[in-house]
Amino acid sequence: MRKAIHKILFALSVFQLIVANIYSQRLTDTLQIEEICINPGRSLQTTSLTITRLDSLILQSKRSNSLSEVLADHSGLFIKTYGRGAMSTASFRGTDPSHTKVLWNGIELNSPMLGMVDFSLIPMFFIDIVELLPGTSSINNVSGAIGGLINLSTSPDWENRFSGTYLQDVGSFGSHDEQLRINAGNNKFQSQTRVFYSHSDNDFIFKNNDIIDSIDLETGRKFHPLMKNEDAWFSHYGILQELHYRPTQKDIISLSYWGQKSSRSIPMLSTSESGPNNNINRQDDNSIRGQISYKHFGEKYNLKLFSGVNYMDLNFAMKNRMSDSVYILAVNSSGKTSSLYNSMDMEYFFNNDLRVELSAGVDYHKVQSLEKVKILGYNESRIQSKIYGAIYKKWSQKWRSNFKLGTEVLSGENLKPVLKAGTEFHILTDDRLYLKLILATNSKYPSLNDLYYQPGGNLNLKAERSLDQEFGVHYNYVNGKLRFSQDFSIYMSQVKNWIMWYYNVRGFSPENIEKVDIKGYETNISLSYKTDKTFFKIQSGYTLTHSRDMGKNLNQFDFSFGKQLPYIPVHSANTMVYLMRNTWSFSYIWNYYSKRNTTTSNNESSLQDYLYPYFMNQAAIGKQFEIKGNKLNISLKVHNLLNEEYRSILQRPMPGRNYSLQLNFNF
Amino acid sequence: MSLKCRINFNLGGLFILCILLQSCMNDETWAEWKKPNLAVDKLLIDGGVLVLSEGNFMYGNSSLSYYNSKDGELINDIFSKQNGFPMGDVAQSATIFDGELYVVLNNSGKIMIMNFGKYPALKAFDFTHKITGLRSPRYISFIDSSKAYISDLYAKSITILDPFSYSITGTIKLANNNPDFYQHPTEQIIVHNEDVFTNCYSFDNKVLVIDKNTDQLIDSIEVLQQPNSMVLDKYSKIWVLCDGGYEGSTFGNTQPGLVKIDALTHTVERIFILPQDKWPSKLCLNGGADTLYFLNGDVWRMPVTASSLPAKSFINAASGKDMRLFSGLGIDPKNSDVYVSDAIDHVQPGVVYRYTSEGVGVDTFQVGIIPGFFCFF
Repeated sequence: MRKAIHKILFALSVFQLIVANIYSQRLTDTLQIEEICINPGRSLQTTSLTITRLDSLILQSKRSNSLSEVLADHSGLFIKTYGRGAMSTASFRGTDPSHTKVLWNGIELNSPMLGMVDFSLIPMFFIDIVELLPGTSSINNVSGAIGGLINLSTSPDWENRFSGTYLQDVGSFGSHDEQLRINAGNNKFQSQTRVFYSHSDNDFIFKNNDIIDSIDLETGRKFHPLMKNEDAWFSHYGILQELHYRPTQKDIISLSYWGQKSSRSIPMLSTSESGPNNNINRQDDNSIRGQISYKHFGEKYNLKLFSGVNYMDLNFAMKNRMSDSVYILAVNSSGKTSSLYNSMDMEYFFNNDLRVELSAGVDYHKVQSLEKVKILGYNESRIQSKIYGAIYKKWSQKWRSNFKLGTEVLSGENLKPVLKAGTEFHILTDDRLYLKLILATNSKYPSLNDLYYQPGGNLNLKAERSLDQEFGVHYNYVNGKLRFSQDFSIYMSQVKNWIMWYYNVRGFSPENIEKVDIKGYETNISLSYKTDKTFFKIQSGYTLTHSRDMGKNLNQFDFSFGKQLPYIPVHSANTMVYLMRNTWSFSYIWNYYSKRNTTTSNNESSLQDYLYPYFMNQAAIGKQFEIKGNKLNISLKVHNLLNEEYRSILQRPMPGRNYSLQLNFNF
Repeated sequence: MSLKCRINFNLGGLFILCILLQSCMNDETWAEWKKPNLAVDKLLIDGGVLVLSEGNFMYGNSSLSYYNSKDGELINDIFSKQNGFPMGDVAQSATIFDGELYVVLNNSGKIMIMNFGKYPALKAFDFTHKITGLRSPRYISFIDSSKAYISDLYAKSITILDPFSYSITGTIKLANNNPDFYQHPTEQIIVHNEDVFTNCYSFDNKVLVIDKNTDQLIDSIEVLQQPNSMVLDKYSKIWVLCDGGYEGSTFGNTQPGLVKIDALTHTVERIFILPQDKWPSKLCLNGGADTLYFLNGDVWRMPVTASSLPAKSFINAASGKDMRLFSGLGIDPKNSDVYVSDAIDHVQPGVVYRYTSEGVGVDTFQVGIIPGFFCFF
């Protein structure tokens, strides 16, 4: 019976691999990758949880990238990007970017002003662990992440005494990255220092099909110009300093400081012909993040005390040249946000089959927003306090469940409780095959811009509220050198009071849409084969997402009811293939996004009503050298291998085939 | 076949499949739509209205629609379909001059020019020329056969164009050296005798007067806050509609109103104050230039000789259970038919309602995103 189950599941999985690739290509990268651990060891705390943890080898090979590029390559998230180095937002399971929360070492990176995260500003170099917790799984860590949670963290290596890394990356379009990391310490104390600098001119050449260079009035023939992508450069640099102290085997005190400065020029659309001296856009993002935490790991209980701060200073300016040397600012915006996080988490283990958790916290957020030319803005703050409790129970070898309940108070207002109930049933032992079912409710509050932005902020906005259902199956198989795993999930969410900015009787302002329905299916599959000298792996993912407006109905000509939300693809998929033999490695990545509508009614009456689907290919080859006990890795990557034309945003060109060479020295 | 062989076979096939399934979509495929290929002479005989839809800011999805009320012919996105590339970002206004249609693209810094009879060998809406290098153009007005003025939101000047050579020949500086609020932006342009009037809308309260012979600023008339639209009636009176600002604006939130200016003396003759709960806009005149129309929630109408504001609206925004948000207004100069647009949620195609001169609804048709400007011919 067991063999029959294995054969059926294996056959279905190979079939699904092929089917997924018929629909799939996605912008990804490939280097030497070992296992991506889907659903790590099933401790009681991970009951009914879906966690995708990106392998450390992926993180190592992608250290010169931003988090947006890594997520686009290695996850089921839809990344909407304005180009390399430009603003990038993430959409989990058809939700809004503000529905995706990001934690870094416990600090929430979401801006209290905007509600979302710009993933292009998060350097992979400052991250050791990336965990993706979609939908209901996010409730284990944080509330309000209706789409999901991206949990980023760093970790000390207590075995380390002295080590480091230097990375040098050079690429097309004037791109280069330099990174240095020094680790020093002993089994009680560890210091980790990381510094990086990243720059790109981003000045690729493209054929601009959105404007006409000239026209033959006799024949009507039109000529499109070859242009350089100008005013699209970016520069980032930053430092991360961490100190970890372990006075006993059960206690750890950690301090982190992350300071970063980013500057970028924002190009005009490909339809713009205002000239080089007009509408020059610049954005500067400066941030300071820090945290201090104490963790105790006891035999009967764990305790964590945490305090963190996140300060962000965003400045945007648009200027025009009025004469040879005089520029005048037409827009001069500043947004300063300060967030302070404080929390206490305790876990108590009654025995191996029963544990409870209790957590409480108080957060403070402040926003100072000002547009200096029109003198518009606001200064507001709010306090958010929360208390949560959870129970995890293993009923038998085959059955376990968990329950979490909590509530929050926001600026004196009691909010609706957050609740999650999940259960797992194991068909085969050792976590080889199990089913899970989760029911949950979640709440997300308006951002401070939603409430106070001038003009248009809406103080009457209600919190968004979701009701979530999820069913999943996990299977894994190990037979000597062969490893196979597959996950699939079916999920549904009904989100009430979805906040959407649109034009209404108040002008352009946010309103609560009565309901958005989300339904979807996602699957990930991984197959690897390993010998002494060879490692081969193939990995594939496919996501189907229906995210539909079921509430806004302004009048009889509002055709948005029941339609897919703009910029959410119905289908997305990716496949990675890699091979490592001795010291050589080769990888190939292929991904796909289906058509994306740009209107709420999903009509196709004009050329700009949708973005066409695209497939993307990348390849990389690498070689490792050993130099006096130290390791040098050299790799060459080719991005957009087949030089495809593709669009992520309307009227934004994307680069054709381009290259990068990376040297990575570990000592 | 062993398990290992089966795996290798499947994976090899999969790899080849990945290579073979390449993108079949690109910009050129995207642009292969069926061209309307309308003949200009027939178009001019039939007449009609062009509806300009702004599109969303920074989306580049503005569009142009052609509608013929005689037979109900409607062609949407006609520029892109005819020419195979997009018009630009935020289409603000359109003007017909000397057999060409000039469309001002506010956030693309250009004016796109297309055939409207000047080139018999070309079809209607075939792209012919463009004016580039502008900052944030709003309207173009042809002063005479040799000169046009282009207003601008950010240039602090008006650009002078030679329509014969399609080249920029100069600018008229309008900066007031006020460091706040970026003044003076310019909007619509009215020519009366030797004077050219332009309203300064955004965070401003002036109507500026320019001498068209010397291209110099000669006068400034203070009106109410935020004069967004203006017209010239048959009695040489300039009417300026001001929305008064909005709550929270540091420039002020004051009463909106209709200001009547004598075009000869440049003096304010009368101010009609409007209620402060809406934002009036889109002031228009009928073909006889003796009746005003504007949006203030509903559509309002009043003769230029009226001594007070009308007691009730001409066309209600509320229609049964529907609540409509009017975004654009146009009056057919031939028969005073009223065209009023509704942008719905501003992220989907809008709708135009056509009414007779007596306010009876006769037709409804769907156009592009955020329809706001009507050009009758």
